[in-house]
Amino acid sequence: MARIRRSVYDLPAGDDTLDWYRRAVEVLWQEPISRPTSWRFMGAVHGNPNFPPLPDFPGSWDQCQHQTWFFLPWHRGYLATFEAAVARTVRQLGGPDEWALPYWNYSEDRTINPEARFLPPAFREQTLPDGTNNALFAPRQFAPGGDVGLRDQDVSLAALNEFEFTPAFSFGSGFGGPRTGFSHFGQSNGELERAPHNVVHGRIGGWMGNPNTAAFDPIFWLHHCNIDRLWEEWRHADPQQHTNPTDGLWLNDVTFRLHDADDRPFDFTSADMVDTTQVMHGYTYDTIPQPIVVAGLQGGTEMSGIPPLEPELAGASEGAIRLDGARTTSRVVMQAAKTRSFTESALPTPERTYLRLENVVGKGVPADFDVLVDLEGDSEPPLVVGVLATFGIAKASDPDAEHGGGGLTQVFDITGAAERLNLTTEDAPLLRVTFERVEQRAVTEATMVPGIDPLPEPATGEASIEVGRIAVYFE
Amino acid sequence: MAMAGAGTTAPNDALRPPAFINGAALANPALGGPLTVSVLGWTVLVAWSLAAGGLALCTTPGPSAGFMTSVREQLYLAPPARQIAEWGAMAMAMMAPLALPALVQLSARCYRPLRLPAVLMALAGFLVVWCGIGLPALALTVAARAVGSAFDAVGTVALLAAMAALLWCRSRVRIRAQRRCHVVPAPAGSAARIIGGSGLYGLRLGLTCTVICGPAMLALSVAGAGLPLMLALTHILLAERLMPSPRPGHSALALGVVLLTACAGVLLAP
Repeated sequence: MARIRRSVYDLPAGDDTLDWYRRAVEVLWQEPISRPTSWRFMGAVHGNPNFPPLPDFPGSWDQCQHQTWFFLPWHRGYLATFEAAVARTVRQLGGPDEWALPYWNYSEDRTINPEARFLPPAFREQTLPDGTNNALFAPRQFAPGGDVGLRDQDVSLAALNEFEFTPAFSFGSGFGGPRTGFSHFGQSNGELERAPHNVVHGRIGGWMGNPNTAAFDPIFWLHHCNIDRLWEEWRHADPQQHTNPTDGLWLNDVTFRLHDADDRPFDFTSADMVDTTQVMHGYTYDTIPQPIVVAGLQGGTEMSGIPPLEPELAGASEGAIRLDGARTTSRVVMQAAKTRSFTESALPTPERTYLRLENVVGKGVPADFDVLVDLEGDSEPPLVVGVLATFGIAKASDPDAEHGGGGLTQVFDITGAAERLNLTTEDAPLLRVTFERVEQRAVTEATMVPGIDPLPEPATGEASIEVGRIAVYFE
Repeated sequence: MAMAGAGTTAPNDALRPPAFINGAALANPALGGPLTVSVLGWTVLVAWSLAAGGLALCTTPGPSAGFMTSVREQLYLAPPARQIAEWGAMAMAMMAPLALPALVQLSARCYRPLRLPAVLMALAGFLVVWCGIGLPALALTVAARAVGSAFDAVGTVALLAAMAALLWCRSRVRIRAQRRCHVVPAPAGSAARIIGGSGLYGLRLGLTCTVICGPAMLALSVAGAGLPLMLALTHILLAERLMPSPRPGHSALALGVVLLTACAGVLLAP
């Protein structure tokens, strides 16, 4: 029978799911790193903080797929192997046979759950009531009462409104990410990856803020469990339109290798990750409806009958913008008259407007930035259009990494703001784009399990960030 | 289905049409520019080949009394100007398509009226580099052939050049250069800055491309391979460029077939 993953905030009183999780984490931390189901090995699979390589497992570490086509299926396989390893440990400790990973639904309506944006209580304190160490605590930004500073816009589910898994054009967002091969870190991410995924990583900070340490924090797994659930939710929301890629490259041609609960190699493709009830031991989510079978569904990722139009540059900044200090403002010179939309009568106005932050490069672990737009000389308050999440920016900016140091590219759909600001008119004005640094708090140090060596420090250096170009595109 | 710890792609995937080739993009100068240049290059090569009974680049010298004698013979049979012209045509034919993915992205990042000049400037920069390395590449080719000719080992020298090119496929320098091909600039500022910047980008792209493809081109040149093998090499390099995740082992295998075929042609020649 498939396991049922439940919301961490909906676990009934007296439920011991998190107690077993904590006890299993303690045991897994004490396993030798050479064991593929040890905590340190599994964490390094996502990103290696600085462990010396294990000759018996070449290519096993630094595998996480970000800004790639395989972000969702790879992390689904990663979660399943992790869940299997924890469940095995729970069983060995005398716990239930069907232990399942809970998820943290931070996007839940706060009128239903006022605590939704806060870390689940079991993860907040460094010690347990009896004074012993809490293995669910990890180095994170200071979070009094579990408040990590998540705001509504940080956990927006706008990604669920995307029609396509993969963008039709190379600079769109799509739901799941651009067409790529195996890639540890790429340039453009899908909307779900950008927010809430990346933003939540940055807001929790500490280990979670760096891809090389993120998976060592026990909250990482509840966060990714929620991202995995949102993939299911997106697919079920509109089975006709919200389809996974049908391209053989996505489905079958890239095989990943992780390890199962018995430390044996577990090979999988994206095709193996499509049906959650068939992923390893199988699982479902407590709030996901049963799959709807649609007769004659051919798949594909384009909206039926409407060929997508190529977005067209309508305005750009004069150059690169270095984000120093708490607030940086730049201008985008709109050149609406130069776009196809105003020279071809068949296309009188753009249907969508995008703000694209291109070639965003940086070092270290810089803060995230709120992105606001308004018109120059306008007395109206600026409009918030999204969060520039910098999770993984150092890897994306590394010239020797998969994409040669091109940095991150993030796309925001600003159609509503563009209409309010009259950006699509022929005499379009100057657009002012402001970046406001989101507050970074001090990281609380933590001892995960007494007697275990701390993680080696990943080399980060001083943080810096530069946006290569701010561009506005019409579609 | 391919498999590895760090993910792989099947080689036949490169034969599928790339995602950016669709109706809307076909009118793009980024597609039309390189393809036109390439077709022009192939036309010139075929025409010269038919008119002169073969290209100078595609002939290997026989045994000679010595190194300098062979050099003089090669330059007498095919004057440097003709060899350079053939190299230029070969660069246009074989290399222009390799700039295509980058130019499509560059074009999409430009204002519509600036797309054509930006793409043409970038393409010009790219080809300037390829033509610029023609002189040293031809000097190396003549020297390598002369060594082979002087020691009656033209085939062995061609084989050594092929082996060096295959080893290069797996070198870290080449892999790094391939990764840098992904970096596309975000042109900003005035029209002049955008167009000028595109030209500089073309130069950088050309330099990166010579690091990736130069040794294979040189090996093919030393072996004096004909047009069919040039076409095969173009296909392999283009497929490698279009694959979302190129694999050095697959590239070396495919290039090995082409280069060893070229060497066999020299070794088995009467």
